[in-house]
Amino acid sequence: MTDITVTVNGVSRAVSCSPSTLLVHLLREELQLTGTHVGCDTSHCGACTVVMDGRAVKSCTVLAPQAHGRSVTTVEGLAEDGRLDPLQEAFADHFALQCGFCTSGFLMAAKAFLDTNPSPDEEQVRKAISGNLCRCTGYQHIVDAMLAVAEGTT
Amino acid sequence: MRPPDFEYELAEDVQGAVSALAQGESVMAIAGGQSLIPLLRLRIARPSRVVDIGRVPGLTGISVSDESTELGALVTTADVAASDDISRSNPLWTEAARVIADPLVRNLGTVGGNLAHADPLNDLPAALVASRGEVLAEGPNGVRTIASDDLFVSPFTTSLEPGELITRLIVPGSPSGAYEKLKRAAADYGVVAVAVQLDIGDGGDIRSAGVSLSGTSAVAPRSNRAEQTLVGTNGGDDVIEGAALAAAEDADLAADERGSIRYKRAVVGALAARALRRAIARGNG
Repeated sequence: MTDITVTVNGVSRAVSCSPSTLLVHLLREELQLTGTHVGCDTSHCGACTVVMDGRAVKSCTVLAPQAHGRSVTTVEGLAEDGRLDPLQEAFADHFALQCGFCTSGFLMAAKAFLDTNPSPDEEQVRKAISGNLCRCTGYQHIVDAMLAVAEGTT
Repeated sequence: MRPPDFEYELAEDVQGAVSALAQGESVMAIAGGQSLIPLLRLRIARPSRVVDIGRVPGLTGISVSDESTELGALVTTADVAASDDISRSNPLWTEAARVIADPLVRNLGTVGGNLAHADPLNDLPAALVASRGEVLAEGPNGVRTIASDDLFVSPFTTSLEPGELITRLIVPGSPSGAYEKLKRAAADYGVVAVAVQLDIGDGGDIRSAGVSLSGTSAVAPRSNRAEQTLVGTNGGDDVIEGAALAAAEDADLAADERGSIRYKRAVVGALAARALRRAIARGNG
């Protein structure tokens, strides 16, 4: 077992777990933060995307000890004081989800991208979410939502 | 699946990493983990112990001059892709880094790991061979320099000895470089890719040429005949077509779900011509 301390959504959390634990399982099973989803078994789908130290990463492809001492934001950390993040509002306004399974991953990839690239063009937006799969193929509305946030038209 | 159990050791410095990695063949290093963790989950890799080198100090940093690009082994491929300095002096590496897997993988995957994994479908081995770069490796017997032509032995096997660790990459810079890759989906492997780096004189003459491939049976093979076709010429259309044809003819390809041998050979030729045109235009620009 390994002792790990991770700041999750602004709160320091100490966990003792096997070093082979994946970050996504630490979040879902140890910390009961089930908004982060597991959509595949091969590091392909991006449903498990979280923001770690400012960068969007696949939490299924991070060992828990690699997250020790780092700051992780999950979809549960987007809303503040019960108010949705503008990005979440934009996803709702633009119908940027169908079944919703991939949505938390898209939100976190989009969040990290827009925080560092506040005025992207459409091509940059499309590349930024190229690590996330939507099996309902709702990409256009996700792009629309991200561009709306970037342009401040939400 | 979940990874099998293993012992975990955090390396605090290069020496600690070297001695931990020298303890046996079933000890594996993890840096960004973007190659190893998928293999752990598929139970293809079953190390008894994983040595985390991801926090070893001194293995980061990008240093760029006109002559060379130096990268710490732990520099992420996202940082290479985003570096304006590298883009100016070494566009081959910028273009190769930008098409590695997807942005989420690039945020954690490291340049040292991409090379040490020696996957024939990885992109940086071909970039290293085309640019005739070298790596510094530190091991139980000290530090040595390994030239790109000596690093890759066979798929997933490098010439690194047990306990040896890539610490730094030193890559000659040239504005006359380009990388072309065909891939079907962001997170998937590419079909094939071609790395090109040229040294072009003031008169437009090609003084030296590096051409290497990704997606072949070997890891980052150098296309000697393509290079010989280019050197000493001014890189006109006939030369480009001849070099591209040579690269395609000499490529050792295998049929798989990404295409037949015939298809891949045609793609190598098309990508090589495209990369050469761009590299030559940059050198004369």
